[in-house]
Amino acid sequence: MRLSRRALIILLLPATLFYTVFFIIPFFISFGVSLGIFLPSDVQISRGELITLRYYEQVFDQIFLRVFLRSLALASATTALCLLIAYPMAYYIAVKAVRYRNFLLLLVIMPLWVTFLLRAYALLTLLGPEGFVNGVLLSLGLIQQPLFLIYNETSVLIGMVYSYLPLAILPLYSTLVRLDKTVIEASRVLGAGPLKTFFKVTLPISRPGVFAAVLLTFIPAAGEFIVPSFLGGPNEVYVGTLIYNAFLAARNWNWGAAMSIVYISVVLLGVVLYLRLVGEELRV
Amino acid sequence: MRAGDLLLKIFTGAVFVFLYTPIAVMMLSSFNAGRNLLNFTGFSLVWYERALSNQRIISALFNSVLVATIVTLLAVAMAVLTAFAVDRLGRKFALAYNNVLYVSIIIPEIAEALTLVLFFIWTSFPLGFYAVVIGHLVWFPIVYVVVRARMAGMTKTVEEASRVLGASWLRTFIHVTLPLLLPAVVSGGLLVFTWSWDSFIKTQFTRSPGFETLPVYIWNTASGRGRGVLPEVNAIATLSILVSIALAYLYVRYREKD
Repeated sequence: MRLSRRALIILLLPATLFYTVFFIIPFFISFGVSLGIFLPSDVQISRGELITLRYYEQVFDQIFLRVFLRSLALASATTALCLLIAYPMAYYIAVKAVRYRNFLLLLVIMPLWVTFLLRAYALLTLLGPEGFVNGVLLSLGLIQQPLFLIYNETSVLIGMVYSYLPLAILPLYSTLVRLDKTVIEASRVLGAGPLKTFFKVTLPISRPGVFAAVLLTFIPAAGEFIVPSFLGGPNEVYVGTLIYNAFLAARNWNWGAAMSIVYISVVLLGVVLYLRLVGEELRV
Repeated sequence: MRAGDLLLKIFTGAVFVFLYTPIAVMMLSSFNAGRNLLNFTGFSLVWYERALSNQRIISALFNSVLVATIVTLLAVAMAVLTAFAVDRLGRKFALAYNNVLYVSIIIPEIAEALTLVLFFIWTSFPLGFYAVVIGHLVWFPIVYVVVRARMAGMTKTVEEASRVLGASWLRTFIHVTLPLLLPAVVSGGLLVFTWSWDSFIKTQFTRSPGFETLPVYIWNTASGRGRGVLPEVNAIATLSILVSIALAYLYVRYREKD
Protein backbone atom coordinates (compact mmCIF):
# COMPACT_ATOMS: atom_id res chain seq x y z
CA MET A 1 0.00 0.00 0.00
CA ARG A 2 1.43 3.33 -1.04
CA LEU A 3 0.98 6.55 0.82
CA SER A 4 1.19 10.13 -0.37
CA ARG A 5 4.26 12.06 0.66
CA ARG A 6 2.13 14.34 2.81
CA ALA A 7 0.51 11.45 4.69
CA LEU A 8 3.95 9.95 5.34
CA ILE A 9 5.24 13.21 6.79
CA ILE A 10 2.17 13.62 9.00
CA LEU A 11 2.59 10.07 10.34
CA LEU A 12 6.30 10.49 11.03
CA LEU A 13 6.01 13.94 12.53
CA PRO A 14 4.90 13.30 16.15
CA ALA A 15 7.53 10.72 17.04
CA THR A 16 10.32 12.42 15.11
CA LEU A 17 9.60 15.78 16.67
CA PHE A 18 9.32 14.32 20.18
CA TYR A 19 12.48 12.28 19.85
CA THR A 20 14.45 15.20 18.43
CA VAL A 21 13.34 17.65 21.10
CA PHE A 22 13.61 15.37 24.14
CA PHE A 23 16.45 13.03 23.18
CA ILE A 24 18.72 14.45 20.48
CA ILE A 25 18.67 18.14 21.40
CA PRO A 26 19.28 17.45 25.15
CA PHE A 27 22.38 15.56 24.15
CA PHE A 28 23.77 18.62 22.32
CA ILE A 29 22.65 20.97 25.11
CA SER A 30 24.52 18.76 27.58
CA PHE A 31 27.57 18.85 25.37
CA GLY A 32 27.28 22.64 25.52
CA VAL A 33 26.87 22.49 29.31
CA SER A 34 29.98 20.31 29.58
CA LEU A 35 31.94 23.02 27.74
CA GLY A 36 30.41 25.78 29.84
CA ILE A 37 28.56 27.33 26.88
CA PHE A 38 25.18 26.77 28.58
CA LEU A 39 24.50 27.01 32.32
CA PRO A 40 28.02 28.28 33.18
CA SER A 41 29.16 27.79 36.77
CA ASP A 42 29.87 30.73 39.11
CA VAL A 43 33.63 30.15 38.94
CA GLN A 44 33.47 30.31 35.18
CA ILE A 45 31.40 33.52 35.16
CA SER A 46 33.74 35.21 37.61
CA ARG A 47 36.65 34.42 35.30
CA GLY A 48 34.72 35.58 32.26
CA GLU A 49 35.22 32.28 30.35
CA LEU A 50 32.60 31.72 27.66
CA ILE A 51 33.83 28.27 26.78
CA THR A 52 36.16 26.07 28.76
CA LEU A 53 37.61 22.58 29.00
CA ARG A 54 37.94 22.79 32.79
CA TYR A 55 35.09 20.32 33.38
CA TYR A 56 36.78 17.70 31.22
CA GLU A 57 39.99 18.37 33.09
CA GLN A 58 38.01 17.68 36.28
CA VAL A 59 36.77 14.40 34.83
CA PHE A 60 40.30 13.24 34.12
CA ASP A 61 41.61 14.51 37.44
CA GLN A 62 43.66 12.05 39.52
CA ILE A 63 40.93 11.30 42.06
CA PHE A 64 38.24 10.80 39.47
CA LEU A 65 40.55 8.72 37.35
CA ARG A 66 40.77 6.41 40.33
CA VAL A 67 36.95 6.24 40.44
CA PHE A 68 36.88 5.43 36.73
CA LEU A 69 39.42 2.66 37.21
CA ARG A 70 37.48 1.28 40.16
CA SER A 71 34.29 1.26 38.05
CA LEU A 72 36.10 -0.48 35.22
CA ALA A 73 37.48 -3.04 37.66
CA LEU A 74 34.01 -3.68 39.11
CA ALA A 75 32.48 -3.91 35.63
CA SER A 76 35.24 -6.31 34.49
CA ALA A 77 34.88 -8.54 37.54
CA THR A 78 31.07 -8.52 37.14
CA THR A 79 31.31 -9.37 33.45
CA ALA A 80 33.87 -12.15 34.00
CA LEU A 81 31.88 -13.77 36.80
CA CYS A 82 28.60 -13.44 34.87
CA LEU A 83 30.16 -15.11 31.82
CA LEU A 84 31.64 -17.94 33.89
CA ILE A 85 28.27 -18.63 35.51
CA ALA A 86 26.05 -17.85 32.52
CA TYR A 87 27.87 -19.93 29.91
CA PRO A 88 27.40 -23.37 31.47
CA MET A 89 23.86 -22.44 32.43
CA ALA A 90 22.93 -21.22 28.95
CA TYR A 91 24.57 -24.34 27.52
CA TYR A 92 22.55 -26.58 29.82
CA ILE A 93 19.25 -24.81 29.01
CA ALA A 94 19.87 -24.62 25.26
CA VAL A 95 21.48 -28.00 24.57
CA LYS A 96 20.70 -30.41 27.39
CA ALA A 97 17.36 -29.45 28.91
CA VAL A 98 15.36 -29.56 25.70
CA ARG A 99 12.11 -30.61 27.39
CA TYR A 100 12.06 -27.86 30.04
CA ARG A 101 13.74 -25.26 27.85
CA ASN A 102 10.87 -22.76 27.73
CA PHE A 103 10.12 -23.00 31.42
CA LEU A 104 13.79 -22.49 32.38
CA LEU A 105 14.01 -19.58 29.97
CA LEU A 106 11.00 -17.99 31.67
CA LEU A 107 12.81 -18.41 35.00
CA VAL A 108 15.77 -16.52 33.51
CA ILE A 109 13.64 -13.73 32.06
CA MET A 110 11.40 -13.12 35.07
CA PRO A 111 14.00 -11.46 37.33
CA LEU A 112 14.76 -9.02 34.49
CA TRP A 113 11.22 -7.68 34.80
CA VAL A 114 11.79 -6.86 38.45
CA THR A 115 13.64 -3.58 38.74
CA PHE A 116 17.26 -3.46 39.91
CA LEU A 117 16.13 -1.30 42.79
CA LEU A 118 13.86 -3.99 44.21
CA ARG A 119 16.37 -6.76 43.61
CA ALA A 120 19.07 -4.80 45.44
CA TYR A 121 16.54 -4.16 48.19
CA ALA A 122 15.73 -7.88 48.33
CA LEU A 123 19.44 -8.66 48.81
CA LEU A 124 19.37 -6.21 51.70
CA THR A 125 16.56 -8.16 53.38
CA LEU A 126 18.65 -11.31 52.97
CA LEU A 127 22.14 -10.11 53.91
CA GLY A 128 21.58 -6.92 55.93
CA PRO A 129 22.35 -6.55 59.65
CA GLU A 130 18.70 -7.41 60.47
CA GLY A 131 18.52 -9.75 57.51
CA PHE A 132 17.62 -13.39 57.20
CA VAL A 133 21.15 -14.86 57.11
CA ASN A 134 22.29 -12.97 60.19
CA GLY A 135 19.06 -13.87 61.93
CA VAL A 136 19.49 -17.59 61.30
CA LEU A 137 23.13 -17.53 62.44
CA LEU A 138 22.22 -15.57 65.57
CA SER A 139 19.36 -17.83 66.56
CA LEU A 140 21.52 -20.91 66.04
CA GLY A 141 24.03 -19.35 68.42
CA LEU A 142 26.81 -19.53 65.83
CA ILE A 143 27.49 -15.81 66.19
CA GLN A 144 26.87 -13.32 68.99
CA GLN A 145 26.86 -10.13 66.91
CA PRO A 146 25.37 -9.67 63.44
CA LEU A 147 28.01 -10.06 60.74
CA PHE A 148 28.72 -7.20 58.36
CA LEU A 149 27.79 -9.04 55.22
CA ILE A 150 27.02 -5.89 53.26
CA TYR A 151 28.53 -2.43 52.84
CA ASN A 152 31.76 -3.82 51.41
CA GLU A 153 33.23 -4.57 47.98
CA THR A 154 32.31 -8.25 48.05
CA SER A 155 28.63 -7.52 48.68
CA VAL A 156 28.64 -5.01 45.82
CA LEU A 157 30.13 -7.64 43.51
CA ILE A 158 27.58 -10.24 44.64
CA GLY A 159 24.81 -7.72 44.03
CA MET A 160 26.16 -6.89 40.60
CA VAL A 161 26.41 -10.53 39.52
CA TYR A 162 22.94 -11.17 40.94
CA SER A 163 21.51 -8.25 38.95
CA TYR A 164 23.31 -8.74 35.63
CA LEU A 165 23.39 -12.54 35.37
CA PRO A 166 20.10 -12.90 33.42
CA LEU A 167 21.35 -10.31 30.91
CA ALA A 168 24.40 -12.46 30.23
CA ILE A 169 22.47 -15.72 29.98
CA LEU A 170 20.00 -14.56 27.28
CA PRO A 171 22.40 -13.77 24.38
CA LEU A 172 24.49 -16.87 25.16
CA TYR A 173 21.33 -18.95 25.13
CA SER A 174 20.23 -17.60 21.77
CA THR A 175 23.51 -18.47 20.05
CA LEU A 176 23.86 -21.86 21.75
CA VAL A 177 20.31 -22.88 20.90
CA ARG A 178 21.13 -22.53 17.19
CA LEU A 179 24.31 -24.56 17.58
CA ASP A 180 24.51 -27.36 15.03
CA LYS A 181 24.99 -30.49 17.11
CA THR A 182 26.39 -32.47 14.19
CA VAL A 183 29.54 -30.30 14.27
CA ILE A 184 30.15 -31.29 17.88
CA GLU A 185 29.50 -34.94 17.10
CA ALA A 186 31.91 -34.75 14.17
CA SER A 187 34.60 -33.37 16.44
CA ARG A 188 34.01 -36.16 18.97
CA VAL A 189 33.89 -38.88 16.32
CA LEU A 190 37.15 -37.63 14.86
CA GLY A 191 38.77 -38.24 18.25
CA ALA A 192 38.78 -34.89 20.07
CA GLY A 193 38.04 -35.09 23.81
CA PRO A 194 35.18 -33.10 25.36
CA LEU A 195 37.51 -30.29 26.52
CA LYS A 196 39.20 -29.97 23.16
CA THR A 197 35.82 -30.01 21.42
CA PHE A 198 34.59 -27.26 23.71
CA PHE A 199 37.58 -24.95 23.18
CA LYS A 200 38.07 -25.68 19.46
CA VAL A 201 34.45 -25.96 18.32
CA THR A 202 31.68 -24.87 20.71
CA LEU A 203 33.31 -21.74 22.12
CA PRO A 204 34.42 -20.29 18.75
CA ILE A 205 30.95 -20.85 17.26
CA SER A 206 29.27 -19.08 20.16
CA ARG A 207 31.54 -16.04 19.94
CA PRO A 208 28.82 -13.57 18.85
CA GLY A 209 26.79 -14.54 21.92
CA VAL A 210 29.80 -14.03 24.17
CA PHE A 211 30.40 -10.59 22.64
CA ALA A 212 26.75 -9.63 23.15
CA ALA A 213 26.81 -10.85 26.75
CA VAL A 214 29.95 -8.83 27.45
CA LEU A 215 28.41 -5.72 25.93
CA LEU A 216 25.10 -6.10 27.75
CA THR A 217 26.75 -6.51 31.15
CA PHE A 218 29.93 -4.44 30.91
CA ILE A 219 28.46 -1.15 29.64
CA PRO A 220 25.66 -0.72 32.17
CA ALA A 221 27.78 -2.26 34.95
CA ALA A 222 30.45 0.41 34.44
CA GLY A 223 27.88 3.10 35.25
CA GLU A 224 25.83 1.13 37.78
CA PHE A 225 24.54 3.28 40.56
CA ILE A 226 21.72 1.52 42.38
CA VAL A 227 23.52 -1.66 43.45
CA PRO A 228 26.56 0.07 45.04
CA SER A 229 24.29 2.57 46.79
CA PHE A 230 22.33 -0.21 48.45
CA LEU A 231 25.11 -2.66 49.16
CA GLY A 232 28.33 -0.62 49.15
CA GLY A 233 30.00 1.32 51.92
CA PRO A 234 30.05 5.13 51.94
CA ASN A 235 33.58 5.20 50.52
CA GLU A 236 32.81 3.05 47.53
CA VAL A 237 32.22 5.63 44.84
CA TYR A 238 31.70 4.58 41.22
CA VAL A 239 31.05 6.50 37.98
CA GLY A 240 27.28 6.14 38.40
CA THR A 241 27.48 7.47 41.96
CA LEU A 242 29.56 10.43 40.73
CA ILE A 243 27.09 11.36 37.98
CA TYR A 244 24.18 11.03 40.40
CA ASN A 245 25.90 13.15 43.07
CA ALA A 246 27.11 15.71 40.55
CA PHE A 247 23.50 16.43 39.77
CA LEU A 248 21.52 15.78 42.95
CA ALA A 249 23.98 16.49 45.76
CA ALA A 250 26.67 18.82 44.47
CA ARG A 251 24.56 20.55 41.80
CA ASN A 252 27.70 20.63 39.68
CA TRP A 253 25.92 20.33 36.36
CA ASN A 254 28.86 21.07 34.08
CA TRP A 255 31.01 18.40 35.62
CA GLY A 256 28.11 15.90 35.55
CA ALA A 257 27.51 16.74 31.89
CA ALA A 258 31.19 16.21 31.04
CA MET A 259 31.17 12.82 32.78
CA SER A 260 27.96 11.77 30.98
CA ILE A 261 29.38 12.81 27.61
CA VAL A 262 32.55 10.78 28.24
CA TYR A 263 30.50 7.79 29.39
CA ILE A 264 28.06 7.98 26.44
CA SER A 265 30.97 8.28 23.99
CA VAL A 266 32.63 5.19 25.45
CA VAL A 267 29.34 3.28 25.21
CA LEU A 268 28.70 4.28 21.59
CA LEU A 269 32.29 3.46 20.65
CA GLY A 270 31.89 0.04 22.25
CA VAL A 271 28.67 -0.63 20.34
CA VAL A 272 30.16 0.46 17.00
CA LEU A 273 33.21 -1.76 17.59
CA TYR A 274 30.92 -4.62 18.53
CA LEU A 275 28.82 -4.25 15.38
CA ARG A 276 32.02 -4.18 13.30
CA LEU A 277 33.33 -7.33 14.96
CA VAL A 278 30.09 -9.28 14.79
CA GLY A 279 29.41 -7.98 11.30
CA GLU A 280 32.76 -9.45 10.24
CA GLU A 281 31.90 -12.75 11.91
CA LEU A 282 28.57 -12.95 10.14
CA ARG A 283 30.12 -12.23 6.77
CA VAL A 284 32.70 -15.00 7.24
CA MET B 1 23.03 -39.55 32.38
CA ARG B 2 26.72 -38.70 32.26
CA ALA B 3 28.44 -37.17 35.27
CA GLY B 4 29.12 -33.96 33.39
CA ASP B 5 25.45 -33.45 32.57
CA LEU B 6 24.46 -34.08 36.17
CA LEU B 7 26.99 -31.51 37.31
CA LEU B 8 25.58 -28.97 34.84
CA LYS B 9 22.08 -29.68 36.10
CA ILE B 10 23.06 -29.18 39.75
CA PHE B 11 24.95 -26.01 38.85
CA THR B 12 21.97 -24.55 36.96
CA GLY B 13 19.66 -25.39 39.85
CA ALA B 14 22.02 -23.73 42.34
CA VAL B 15 22.15 -20.55 40.26
CA PHE B 16 18.35 -20.41 40.13
CA VAL B 17 18.29 -20.75 43.92
CA PHE B 18 20.73 -17.82 44.07
CA LEU B 19 18.51 -15.77 41.74
CA TYR B 20 15.25 -16.42 43.58
CA THR B 21 16.18 -16.69 47.28
CA PRO B 22 16.45 -12.94 48.02
CA ILE B 23 13.09 -12.21 46.37
CA ALA B 24 11.46 -15.18 48.11
CA VAL B 25 12.81 -14.12 51.52
CA MET B 26 11.56 -10.59 51.03
CA MET B 27 8.11 -11.78 49.97
CA LEU B 28 7.86 -14.21 52.88
CA SER B 29 8.85 -11.53 55.39
CA SER B 30 6.06 -9.33 54.13
CA PHE B 31 3.48 -11.96 55.16
CA ASN B 32 4.95 -12.45 58.62
CA ALA B 33 3.23 -10.96 61.66
CA GLY B 34 6.58 -10.40 63.37
CA ARG B 35 9.11 -7.78 62.34
CA ASN B 36 11.45 -10.20 60.61
CA LEU B 37 11.52 -13.77 59.37
CA LEU B 38 13.27 -15.09 62.47
CA ASN B 39 10.32 -14.79 64.75
CA PHE B 40 7.83 -16.12 62.26
CA THR B 41 4.74 -15.58 64.36
CA GLY B 42 2.31 -16.63 61.68
CA PHE B 43 0.82 -15.59 58.39
CA SER B 44 -0.57 -12.09 58.45
CA LEU B 45 -1.50 -9.24 56.16
CA VAL B 46 -0.82 -6.63 58.83
CA TRP B 47 2.03 -5.00 56.88
CA TYR B 48 -0.14 -4.75 53.79
CA GLU B 49 -2.82 -3.01 55.86
CA ARG B 50 -0.21 -0.71 57.31
CA ALA B 51 1.28 0.01 53.86
CA LEU B 52 -2.07 0.65 52.21
CA SER B 53 -3.15 3.05 54.93
CA ASN B 54 0.06 5.05 54.51
CA GLN B 55 -0.86 8.18 52.55
CA ARG B 56 2.63 8.51 51.08
CA ILE B 57 2.61 4.93 49.74
CA ILE B 58 -0.88 5.36 48.30
CA SER B 59 0.06 8.48 46.38
CA ALA B 60 3.30 6.87 45.14
CA LEU B 61 1.31 3.86 43.95
CA PHE B 62 -1.21 6.14 42.24
CA ASN B 63 1.56 8.14 40.54
CA SER B 64 3.30 4.97 39.33
CA VAL B 65 0.12 3.60 37.77
CA LEU B 66 -0.83 6.95 36.23
CA VAL B 67 2.60 7.64 34.71
CA ALA B 68 3.01 4.11 33.35
CA THR B 69 -0.49 4.10 31.83
CA ILE B 70 -0.12 7.46 30.08
CA VAL B 71 3.38 6.59 28.88
CA THR B 72 2.20 3.23 27.52
CA LEU B 73 -0.75 4.69 25.60
CA LEU B 74 1.27 7.51 24.05
CA ALA B 75 4.31 5.32 23.33
CA VAL B 76 2.14 2.73 21.56
CA ALA B 77 0.44 5.40 19.46
CA MET B 78 3.75 6.96 18.47
CA ALA B 79 5.40 3.62 17.78
CA VAL B 80 2.56 2.31 15.59
CA LEU B 81 2.28 5.47 13.49
CA THR B 82 6.05 5.60 13.02
CA ALA B 83 6.40 1.91 12.20
CA PHE B 84 3.55 2.18 9.69
CA ALA B 85 5.23 5.12 7.94
CA VAL B 86 8.77 3.72 8.07
CA ASP B 87 7.46 0.52 6.47
CA ARG B 88 6.70 2.64 3.40
CA LEU B 89 10.02 4.47 3.25
CA GLY B 90 12.97 3.52 1.11
CA ARG B 91 15.27 0.82 2.54
CA LYS B 92 18.17 3.14 3.20
CA PHE B 93 16.11 5.82 4.91
CA ALA B 94 14.28 3.22 7.02
CA LEU B 95 17.58 1.74 8.19
CA ALA B 96 18.95 5.14 9.19
CA TYR B 97 15.70 5.95 11.02
CA ASN B 98 15.90 2.66 12.96
CA ASN B 99 19.50 3.24 13.99
CA VAL B 100 18.76 6.71 15.32
CA LEU B 101 15.84 5.38 17.39
CA TYR B 102 17.83 2.43 18.77
CA VAL B 103 20.32 4.79 20.40
CA SER B 104 17.83 5.62 23.15
CA ILE B 105 17.60 1.92 24.04
CA ILE B 106 21.33 1.33 24.43
CA ILE B 107 22.30 4.57 26.20
CA PRO B 108 22.66 3.92 29.95
CA GLU B 109 19.71 5.39 31.85
CA ILE B 110 21.79 7.56 34.17
CA ALA B 111 23.59 9.40 31.35
CA GLU B 112 20.34 9.90 29.42
CA ALA B 113 18.54 11.13 32.53
CA LEU B 114 21.24 13.71 33.17
CA THR B 115 21.16 15.10 29.62
CA LEU B 116 17.35 15.35 29.78
CA VAL B 117 17.29 17.15 33.12
CA LEU B 118 19.96 19.61 31.95
CA PHE B 119 17.76 20.35 28.96
CA PHE B 120 14.78 20.95 31.29
CA ILE B 121 16.87 23.26 33.47
CA TRP B 122 18.22 25.14 30.47
CA THR B 123 14.72 25.68 29.03
CA SER B 124 13.23 26.31 32.53
CA PHE B 125 10.77 23.48 31.92
CA PRO B 126 9.20 22.73 35.33
CA LEU B 127 10.29 19.40 36.83
CA GLY B 128 7.52 17.13 38.08
CA PHE B 129 4.75 14.98 36.63
CA TYR B 130 5.02 16.16 33.00
CA ALA B 131 8.82 16.01 32.99
CA VAL B 132 8.66 12.44 34.35
CA VAL B 133 6.14 11.38 31.66
CA ILE B 134 8.27 12.94 28.92
CA GLY B 135 11.37 11.23 30.28
CA HIS B 136 9.73 7.80 30.21
CA LEU B 137 8.18 8.44 26.81
CA VAL B 138 11.66 8.77 25.27
CA TRP B 139 11.63 4.96 25.58
CA PHE B 140 8.89 4.60 22.94
CA PRO B 141 11.47 3.03 20.55
CA ILE B 142 11.26 -0.20 22.58
CA VAL B 143 7.63 -0.52 21.40
CA TYR B 144 8.67 0.53 17.92
CA VAL B 145 11.25 -2.28 17.70
CA VAL B 146 8.65 -4.94 18.52
CA VAL B 147 5.96 -3.49 16.22
CA ARG B 148 8.42 -2.98 13.38
CA ALA B 149 9.62 -6.58 13.60
CA ARG B 150 6.04 -7.83 13.34
CA MET B 151 5.28 -5.50 10.46
CA ALA B 152 8.33 -6.61 8.49
CA GLY B 153 7.14 -10.22 8.72
CA MET B 154 3.57 -9.42 7.64
CA THR B 155 2.34 -10.10 4.13
CA LYS B 156 1.24 -6.94 2.40
CA THR B 157 -1.38 -8.63 0.21
CA VAL B 158 -4.22 -8.22 2.73
CA GLU B 159 -3.64 -4.49 2.95
CA GLU B 160 -3.43 -4.26 -0.81
CA ALA B 161 -6.68 -6.18 -1.20
CA SER B 162 -8.40 -3.73 1.11
CA ARG B 163 -7.08 -0.80 -0.92
CA VAL B 164 -8.02 -2.37 -4.25
CA LEU B 165 -11.52 -2.98 -2.95
CA GLY B 166 -11.86 0.74 -2.38
CA ALA B 167 -11.01 1.37 1.28
CA SER B 168 -9.03 4.52 2.06
CA TRP B 169 -5.59 4.10 3.63
CA LEU B 170 -6.95 5.30 6.97
CA ARG B 171 -9.72 2.72 6.89
CA THR B 172 -7.29 0.03 5.81
CA PHE B 173 -5.00 0.98 8.66
CA ILE B 174 -7.76 0.80 11.29
CA HIS B 175 -9.55 -2.30 10.04
CA VAL B 176 -6.74 -4.37 8.54
CA THR B 177 -3.25 -3.33 9.66
CA LEU B 178 -4.00 -2.60 13.31
CA PRO B 179 -5.74 -5.93 14.10
CA LEU B 180 -2.86 -7.81 12.46
CA LEU B 181 -0.39 -5.86 14.59
CA LEU B 182 -2.22 -6.42 17.86
CA PRO B 183 0.04 -9.08 19.46
CA ALA B 184 3.09 -6.90 18.82
CA VAL B 185 1.30 -3.81 20.10
CA VAL B 186 0.38 -5.62 23.32
CA SER B 187 3.84 -7.09 23.96
CA GLY B 188 5.56 -3.79 23.11
CA GLY B 189 3.12 -1.95 25.36
CA LEU B 190 3.84 -4.37 28.21
CA LEU B 191 7.57 -3.75 27.79
CA VAL B 192 7.32 0.02 27.99
CA PHE B 193 4.82 -0.21 30.87
CA THR B 194 7.36 -2.27 32.81
CA TRP B 195 10.23 0.09 32.01
CA SER B 196 8.15 2.97 33.27
CA TRP B 197 6.89 1.05 36.31
CA ASP B 198 10.47 0.07 37.22
CA SER B 199 12.16 3.36 36.39
CA PHE B 200 14.04 4.88 39.27
CA ILE B 201 16.93 6.98 37.97
CA LYS B 202 15.03 8.91 35.29
CA THR B 203 12.13 9.57 37.64
CA GLN B 204 14.45 10.64 40.44
CA PHE B 205 16.17 13.17 38.15
CA THR B 206 13.07 14.67 36.57
CA ARG B 207 10.61 14.65 39.51
CA SER B 208 9.77 17.59 41.72
CA PRO B 209 10.37 17.24 45.49
CA GLY B 210 6.79 16.28 46.39
CA PHE B 211 6.30 13.81 43.54
CA GLU B 212 7.11 10.17 44.30
CA THR B 213 6.59 6.94 42.38
CA LEU B 214 6.93 3.53 44.05
CA PRO B 215 10.63 2.96 43.23
CA VAL B 216 11.42 6.50 44.40
CA TYR B 217 9.51 5.93 47.64
CA ILE B 218 11.37 2.67 48.28
CA TRP B 219 14.67 4.38 47.55
CA ASN B 220 13.88 7.27 49.87
CA THR B 221 13.00 4.97 52.75
CA ALA B 222 15.49 2.14 52.27
CA SER B 223 18.74 3.30 50.69
CA GLY B 224 21.80 4.36 52.59
CA ARG B 225 23.27 3.23 55.88
CA GLY B 226 21.09 3.08 58.94
CA ARG B 227 17.73 3.27 57.21
CA GLY B 228 17.51 -0.29 56.03
CA VAL B 229 14.52 -2.57 55.83
CA LEU B 230 10.96 -1.79 56.92
CA PRO B 231 8.17 -4.40 56.86
CA GLU B 232 5.76 -1.96 55.15
CA VAL B 233 8.31 -1.50 52.38
CA ASN B 234 8.58 -5.29 52.05
CA ALA B 235 4.83 -5.39 51.54
CA ILE B 236 4.71 -2.69 48.88
CA ALA B 237 7.83 -4.08 47.18
CA THR B 238 6.16 -7.50 47.06
CA LEU B 239 3.08 -5.94 45.43
CA SER B 240 5.30 -4.21 42.88
CA ILE B 241 7.16 -7.43 42.08
CA LEU B 242 3.87 -9.32 41.67
CA VAL B 243 2.80 -6.69 39.12
CA SER B 244 6.13 -7.11 37.28
CA ILE B 245 5.85 -10.89 37.25
CA ALA B 246 2.27 -10.74 35.96
CA LEU B 247 3.44 -8.41 33.18
CA ALA B 248 6.35 -10.75 32.35
CA TYR B 249 3.95 -13.69 32.13
CA LEU B 250 1.56 -11.78 29.84
CA TYR B 251 4.51 -10.69 27.72
CA VAL B 252 5.71 -14.26 27.20
CA ARG B 253 2.17 -15.34 26.29
CA TYR B 254 1.80 -12.59 23.69
CA ARG B 255 5.28 -13.18 22.29
CA GLU B 256 4.26 -16.74 21.55
CA LYS B 257 1.34 -15.45 19.47
CA ASP B 258 3.55 -12.93 17.69
